[in-house]
Amino acid sequence: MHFQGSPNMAEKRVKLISSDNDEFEVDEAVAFESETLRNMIQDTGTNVPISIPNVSSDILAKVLEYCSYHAETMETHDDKPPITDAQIREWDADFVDVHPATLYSLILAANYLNIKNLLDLICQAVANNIRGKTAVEIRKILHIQDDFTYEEEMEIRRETKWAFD
Amino acid sequence: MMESTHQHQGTCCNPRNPIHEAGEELLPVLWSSLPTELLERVLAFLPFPNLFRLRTVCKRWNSLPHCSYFRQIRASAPNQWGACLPVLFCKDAAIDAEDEGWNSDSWSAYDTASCRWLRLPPLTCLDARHPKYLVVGSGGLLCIGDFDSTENLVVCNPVTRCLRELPLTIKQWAEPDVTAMAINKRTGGYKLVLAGNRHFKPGSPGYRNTEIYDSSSKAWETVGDIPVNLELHSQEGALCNNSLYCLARDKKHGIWDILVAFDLGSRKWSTVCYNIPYGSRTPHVIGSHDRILAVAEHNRVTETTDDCVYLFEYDLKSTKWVKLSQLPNDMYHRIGKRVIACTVDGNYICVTGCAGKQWCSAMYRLSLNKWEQVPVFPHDESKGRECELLLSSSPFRPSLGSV
Repeated sequence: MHFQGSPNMAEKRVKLISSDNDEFEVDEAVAFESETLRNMIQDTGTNVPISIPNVSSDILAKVLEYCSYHAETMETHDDKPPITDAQIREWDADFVDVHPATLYSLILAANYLNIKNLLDLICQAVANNIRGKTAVEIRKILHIQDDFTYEEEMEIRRETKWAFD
Repeated sequence: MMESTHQHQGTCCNPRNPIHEAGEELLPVLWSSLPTELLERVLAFLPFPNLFRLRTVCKRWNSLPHCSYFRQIRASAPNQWGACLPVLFCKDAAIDAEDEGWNSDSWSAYDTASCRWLRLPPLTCLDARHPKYLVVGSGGLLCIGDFDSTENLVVCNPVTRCLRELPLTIKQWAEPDVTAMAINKRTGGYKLVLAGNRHFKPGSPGYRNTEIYDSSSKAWETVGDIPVNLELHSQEGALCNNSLYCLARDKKHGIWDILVAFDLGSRKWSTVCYNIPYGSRTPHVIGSHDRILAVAEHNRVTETTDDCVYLFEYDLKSTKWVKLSQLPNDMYHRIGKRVIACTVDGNYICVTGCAGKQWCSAMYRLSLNKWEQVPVFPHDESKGRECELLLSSSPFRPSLGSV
């Protein structure tokens, strides 16, 4: 899959290989959204394809879609009005409106590739998903063992009573 | 476009054609394998007080607010916990009417993030030895002391329940004219400034009228002098541009409402401006980010028109006050036609007055240039003992910051 940015020939292109051996080619500026890729490119240059062994192609495509958009928002065009913060927020909200399983793969990829803004965005989306849940529901979903004694739990309930008012 | 011919592993569906339904549950089989480090990062994005509701999940989650790694992520998260203002303290009827303290189990504030009133965590870090009078607050920290002295000052974070007892001040302050607290957003360190001329004789040897406590040196220091002819007369100080702005009176020349500033860097006082936007009452000077603002009440000349409240901004370049906005008439009536306190936190400016024995507030959002009504505090008398509500002039923004 190729991400065609602006036809700027001076821009260096970077080849990325997903865990399932798909090849992606993007502008260097797009890859630089990832701290991990930036470090790798600075070490090895853009001639060698970079393999990303723990991100599958569908997730990598999605991550690169994010990086392309955000790299583009940084550019200024004379002929186009700049993208507003509100537009970016709306785009981001649409981007994370995906199946929880995809969100799960994305959070791992964003963490591995070290893309701070994407990681923040996904963390916020997951936090929104669990914020309304009770402690019992959380334990069930995340397979967390309740390690409190009855007395300890009662004590914490007393201490956090204010948070439920 | 190159299409993948490989079969994808796991439970991943096609991300470009999501077949999920809104509100779909997180899958236990997947999310339970999320690395702890990432899970805790997610928890740092929970709103306040949701994080505290989930403390009963397990011991690890219970201890998170005290964990320094977690505090760091929380501090760097783009969604800061919302500003809470105005803050109301419940003064228990059981407390002696003469006592200026409040019932530290019960205080609430209007949360600008969720647009509702929140109960705030009881100050269980205070024990019987500690005073119970809120001197000043900033960010997530409160400075608590006695009503009429600065002898027993403590700084606490009600959220983390940490407390620091401050050393004795160098000077014996009966009551400083101005008390302010400045938090450094980057380092989390803070400074307390006590200043005033009223109770000290100028010209005496070693005469200093400003005292600063710095959380990093953990010590008080007396510094720069307010010119002897000036008397500070606004209790609230406005912090912006690393300076503390407040109003002073020139006793000798009989000039009121002079804007003066104390530079926290150079530790010098200076006169900024003699022309404060003039109202019928002393304006409230407030600071928001790097802007100096004033809320001024005006009496109109004719009896057929109403009084009103204006918001001004001080333009540092032209050294003039510029009118930003007027409090809508209906809101001015609602707050009892008198601004009793002005609180500010970043983008939010809250003016509070008293009408029909209850506190009523209007909120101005600087970024939207818009006023909105704050619902009246849902004071449920049937639920608890009768109590009087005290209005704080400091805002509160819950944080995990250290004392």
